[in-house]
Amino acid sequence: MSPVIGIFAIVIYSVITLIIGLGVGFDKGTVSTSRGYFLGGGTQTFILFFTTAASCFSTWIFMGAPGAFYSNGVAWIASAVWLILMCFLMGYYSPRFWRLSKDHGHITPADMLDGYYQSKKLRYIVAAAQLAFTIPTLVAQNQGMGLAISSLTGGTIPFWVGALYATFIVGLYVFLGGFRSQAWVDTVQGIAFLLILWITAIFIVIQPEVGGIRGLYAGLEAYNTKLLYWATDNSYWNIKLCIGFMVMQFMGCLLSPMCWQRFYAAKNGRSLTKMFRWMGILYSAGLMLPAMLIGLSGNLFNLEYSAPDQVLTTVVNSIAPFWGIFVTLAVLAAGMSTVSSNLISASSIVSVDFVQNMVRKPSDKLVKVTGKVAVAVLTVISFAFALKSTQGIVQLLNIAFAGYAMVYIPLFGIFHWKRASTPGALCGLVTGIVSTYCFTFVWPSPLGFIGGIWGFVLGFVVFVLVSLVTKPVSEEHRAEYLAPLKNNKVYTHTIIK
Amino acid sequence: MKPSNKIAFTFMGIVWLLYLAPFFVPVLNQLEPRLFGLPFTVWFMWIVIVVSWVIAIWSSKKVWDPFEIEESEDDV
Repeated sequence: MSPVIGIFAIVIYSVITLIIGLGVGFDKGTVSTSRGYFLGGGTQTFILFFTTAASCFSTWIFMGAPGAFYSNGVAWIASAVWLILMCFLMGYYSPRFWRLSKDHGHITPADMLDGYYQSKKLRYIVAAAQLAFTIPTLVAQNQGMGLAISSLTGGTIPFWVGALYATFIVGLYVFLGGFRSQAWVDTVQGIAFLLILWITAIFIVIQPEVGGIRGLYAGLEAYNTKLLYWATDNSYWNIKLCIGFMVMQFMGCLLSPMCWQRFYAAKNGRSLTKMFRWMGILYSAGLMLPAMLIGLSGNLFNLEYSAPDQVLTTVVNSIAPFWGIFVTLAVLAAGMSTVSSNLISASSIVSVDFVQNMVRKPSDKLVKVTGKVAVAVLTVISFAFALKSTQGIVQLLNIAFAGYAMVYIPLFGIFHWKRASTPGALCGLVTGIVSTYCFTFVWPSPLGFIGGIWGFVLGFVVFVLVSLVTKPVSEEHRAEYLAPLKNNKVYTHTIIK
Repeated sequence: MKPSNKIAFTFMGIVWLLYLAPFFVPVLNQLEPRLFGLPFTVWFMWIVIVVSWVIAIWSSKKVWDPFEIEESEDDV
């Protein structure tokens, strides 16, 4: 394929993205306040649905997921089950998050924890941890986008130019349009990569090498029957790993700042319950099913894969090189949607959790402007790290979801345990994060369980023990903070007419 | 009266156990009987997934509280 076609496709794609982000999605009134800039002005169900889906699914859905099915076989359907469980928890928690945000004016996840525990220390630790785990995600996606552009142009555009170009486009519409612009772009990108994923899956499955759905399973039985069985304890994908991944992935995604802030951004609580009614179906049948068909089919083609996550691109390039353009653009879209969501979340953390809380009498304009500056700075930092990943970045990326999941420890106290204390929340959270790191890199996976599970268990034990010997959050404050969830009347001070 | 969250979580817990069951119950980890060419390990798990969709749909309609805001004149 000529590099000119690739360059042409990228330019067209960029123009469409900017038209959506800075034309359709831009609203001057919404971005005039810090809350509007970081959370939009009350997002409708349809947009919220697709921006959440597109943000959660990165380039992984085109690379990692088919690669995992290719290597581990049908047992990896685990991923579909944990996604449904995640949506179930989101359906339960998200309206609570939304209502508390509405009444107490929360913008970031740490706002909620500080609001309940009244601890700046806890705010700073949560914010710093979330920032530390978000930046590596930005870096990884920037690398994916750079590789996608480079491969689309047959190497004519080098990796670093591709990464710079994609990072700049994303940074531009996030910088100018904030959450609302990126949510609109996410929606279009989400619909596009969903369609491309399905068309690709159907196209691969009907190839003579696969022979349809029946042919796929008959072929796999002949090729390697183990791929059709649930794993045994001796396999890579065994029950301990399965439980570990399941808990960490669904808790981590639920509590990642980009997802958490989407709960705040909803127009109302009903739009969230409606959204999560269908989200599990989209994740499992809409996204994991085609990834499963593609990954399993990859075993039946007589092709050499440089790595399992190259299954989709290698198969498409061998059977329909022209369609490869669309697949690469879809990979680019998946990367951009994740980068843009992380970018606006990370900038809000810098601006609200740090600047707003460290400056005396901060104005709303200052918070918004520092948020914009943070978008620009984070864009540059993530691009720089994308060119040369350090070991630290790779390590943080590996435990990012487990790190996000640890915030559930103090969160549990807000909704389910009135005996929880501020020191307990602090100690539990720190123990969880430190244990996750130690049991992932220093003493990896004791007894076969991943580091995140150990972090979760030890963090909870410390949280409970310290809470039992220290003074809990006062009954009055707890009642006042959770009052919006007890009666459905809005506080007087939040209504401005 | 609204069904409680406990019931919904119990149902989801059962789904989780059903998902993990093939690791322990050999009879659930076999290729027969097939359904439209799909091995048992595959179609059984998709049934589990469909059941979890039904629970999520039911929960969203009957269980999850949207915590909608009711504004009253006194508050304004």
